[in-house]
Amino acid sequence: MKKMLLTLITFILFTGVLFSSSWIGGYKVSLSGFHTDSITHSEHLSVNLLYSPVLNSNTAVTLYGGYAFSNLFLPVTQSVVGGLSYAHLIAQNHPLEALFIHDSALWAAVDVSVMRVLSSTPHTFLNVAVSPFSLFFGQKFITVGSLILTYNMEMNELDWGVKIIEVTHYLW
Amino acid sequence: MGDMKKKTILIMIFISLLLSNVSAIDAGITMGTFSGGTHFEEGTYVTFGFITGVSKRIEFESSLVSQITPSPLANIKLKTSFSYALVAPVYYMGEKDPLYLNIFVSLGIMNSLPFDNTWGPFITLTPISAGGPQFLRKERVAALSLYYDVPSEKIGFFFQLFSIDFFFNR
Repeated sequence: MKKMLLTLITFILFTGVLFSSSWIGGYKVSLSGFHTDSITHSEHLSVNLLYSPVLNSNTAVTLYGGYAFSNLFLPVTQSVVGGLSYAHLIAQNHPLEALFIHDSALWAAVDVSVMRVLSSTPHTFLNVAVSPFSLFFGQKFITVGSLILTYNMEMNELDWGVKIIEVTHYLW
Repeated sequence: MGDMKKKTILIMIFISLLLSNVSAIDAGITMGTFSGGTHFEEGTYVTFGFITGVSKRIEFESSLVSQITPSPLANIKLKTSFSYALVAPVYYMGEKDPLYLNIFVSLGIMNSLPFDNTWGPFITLTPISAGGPQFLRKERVAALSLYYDVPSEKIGFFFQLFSIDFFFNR
């Protein structure tokens, strides 16, 4: 299993160079809330570093990893997160285009991640986020209203959450 | 002419003036995140509302605050405020180029919907506001509010990490 994972990561890193544009790395931050009682209900602020081996005019594949923690006032279960997302162009000309000065395109994305909660009773969640509404501005994705399906691997529980907003910003 | 008739004519004139000038109003919709302090039930919240400039430096906002997890559309509150642009004018700039970055101070009132004796005034500092009607979009970051709950006589905070205003195309 480990060998397969390592081979997959190596494959993505090397083949990615063939398809990538100038942007390959940056950060992404998101705010999410979860329905499950295994973690706190206040929003989780997730801060991640990312690497996109594939980013061209209609496809983006991104590996990322980071840390999710509290908002300012309420205690939130902290967690480490790592995942892989795949985004694809839906429409170059979209109905909300007039709202923006800069050129934008509508994309959709699917994101698979593992979230390990750092608490006295640690839980590991497998999360699948579906994002039908992601706007790409050339070096930045702004994604709103993603639905998250969460699977608690210790308790075998399926639950849900919402990613309110996610900003993916390429820096290099 | 009866009082009722006079009122009707005045209202009609007011609506006509408003409609004829609606294209000149710097207004839009706003949406954002909302993190409540101890006055609010634990959960993840979002805001959605209406924003408009009432003068070059003053804007009016009325937004609904709603929980989305764990219980969608629960604990709804109405947040109404007037904000003052500290650095430079933002609205009704005509052909003049506005400053892109600004700082806002707001005064407002928040109450629960339906009204259940939870209400109070708040003051907000928005240290980073980028954009404006001429850019069709304004982003507000890290807005921290001090809130006084009148019925319980307690002071609390709420925080809006990120809000975005989309202005109607003029």
